[in-house]
Amino acid sequence: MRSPWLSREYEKSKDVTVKKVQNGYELKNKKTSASIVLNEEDYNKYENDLMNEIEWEKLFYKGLAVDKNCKDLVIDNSFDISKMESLKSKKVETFPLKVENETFHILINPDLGSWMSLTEEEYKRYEKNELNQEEWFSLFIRGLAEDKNHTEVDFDFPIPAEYPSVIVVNITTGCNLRCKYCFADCGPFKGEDMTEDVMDATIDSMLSMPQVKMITFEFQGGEASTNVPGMRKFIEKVEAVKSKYDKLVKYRTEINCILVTQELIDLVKEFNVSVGVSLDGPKYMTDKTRVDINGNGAYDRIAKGIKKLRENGIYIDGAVCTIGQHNVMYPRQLMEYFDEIGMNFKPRPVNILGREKENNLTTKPGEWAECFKEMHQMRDEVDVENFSVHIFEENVYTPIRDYICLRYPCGAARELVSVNPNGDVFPCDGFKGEKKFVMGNVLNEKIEDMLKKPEIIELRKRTAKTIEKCSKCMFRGMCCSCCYSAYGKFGDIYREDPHCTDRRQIYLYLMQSWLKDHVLHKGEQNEKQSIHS
Amino acid sequence: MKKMAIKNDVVKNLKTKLTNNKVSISFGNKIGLGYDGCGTHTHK
Repeated sequence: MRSPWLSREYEKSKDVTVKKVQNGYELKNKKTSASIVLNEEDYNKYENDLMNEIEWEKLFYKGLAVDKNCKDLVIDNSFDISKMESLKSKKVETFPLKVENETFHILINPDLGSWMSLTEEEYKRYEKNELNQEEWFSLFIRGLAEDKNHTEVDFDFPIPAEYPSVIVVNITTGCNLRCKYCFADCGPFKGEDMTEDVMDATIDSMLSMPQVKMITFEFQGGEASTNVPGMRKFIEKVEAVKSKYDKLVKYRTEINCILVTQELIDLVKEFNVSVGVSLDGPKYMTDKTRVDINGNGAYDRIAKGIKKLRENGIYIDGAVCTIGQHNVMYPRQLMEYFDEIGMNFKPRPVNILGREKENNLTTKPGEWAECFKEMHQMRDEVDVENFSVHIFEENVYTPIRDYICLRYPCGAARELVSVNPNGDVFPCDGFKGEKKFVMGNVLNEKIEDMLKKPEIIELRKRTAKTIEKCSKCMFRGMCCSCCYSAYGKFGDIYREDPHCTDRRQIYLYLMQSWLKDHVLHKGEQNEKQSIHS
Repeated sequence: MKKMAIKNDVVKNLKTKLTNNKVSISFGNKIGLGYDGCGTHTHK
């Protein structure tokens, strides 16, 4: 049995003593008297730190090993694994997974996203209810088996927020580019800047938001850098009133880097504004989609802007790298490019809204998955972070769901809201061009009150259960259909993600990848890590 | 620049409590780890 899900970094406990006994070695906790006898082979693995995560956890849950990162383990005297009687859970689904020449059997709890791989031999015993107690416990602890005596497993992982801590401030709807896939359908000659009354109402509404300690104002557009005076006005207004509220405040902006003026640089430095950029890879990729009103590629101007920011000591958080027909076939070149320019990046397929609906640049089924796989295979060859690799690995390998767009319910009208220059508020910045999704206007009501409207409460309850295809999918616990992409593609937010096929391929691939690295080629993995370190 | 050394298959700070009728595993009672920027994902 092997699984990364719920695994920790284990080490030996100082409270454990070792004694040679007739049939092996006895490990005993001198404080609790808990003990286990390991045979010669297992003891050698223990002694030389060669145990896998499941072998470690057998010791851990008896108090015979510790978690390096968290000493907070309480084992009540009443708890006794040997008294547990586990059995198969009806919630669990199974499927075979081929990895090279081996077939593994995956048990998955679709609601939790937890999973365990079994060998053919283990799976046969599982089918016949012949697993031993420790094996059942490894399944039980992951929600993959039940206890006859109704012992419950209570997972208390971060829950989706009730109030937004981030507001996307669309400081203008004007833009100096006319990108072919723009989901907000922005461009030159059609923009409005945010008025001061909208700024005041937005600031008051966010800073008075209950329960939220830190508020992030993220400036977008249109193109935020075409309205630096507006950004400055907004930030100065926040700075002038923030002491009245018990809040921490952060600023960030997402820009295209075409217009990096001294006034922008001064603002970013003065108020420590985090900066992200939009960049689709090298010139021959970026120039195909990120174009101006005359259709001229913007790459050279973007590169100049990035250089200017960096020359002025401004760190760029990362790049949104939109993946479509212009670059999906070049995953290696994308990884090498971002490595070469030293910038972390988040590749993600074109969303199907705005101008994308006319231009059809997004990836075709299977293309994004193939692109992702190749980038994933290169992850250790580069010194930059590919945030998509990070996010998908995290969702498949752990219970943590801290990326708001890949978690049910998603972050729309929870962690995040978005306000347009006229004061209209949207659940997510993806909807900012869609009038149908206006939650209200900050000039008329507080955002907190908008969240209480029946249609917003309904939206906030959007989970896999409310989407027919997702409700039957075994990967629903590690996924989420992007609400505005689903709307763009199907005209209905209660549909699967338009890139559903690719997502499923990515989840399977990541399971295969983990089994390949940690089970089939473990020795090589250790060697690789040691060379790397 | 150097990439942050992050092990995406290990969760830190998992608190565990085992009793005879309940096994609790918690991750610090945090609410909505959330969002740290459109083009990033830096918290863990």
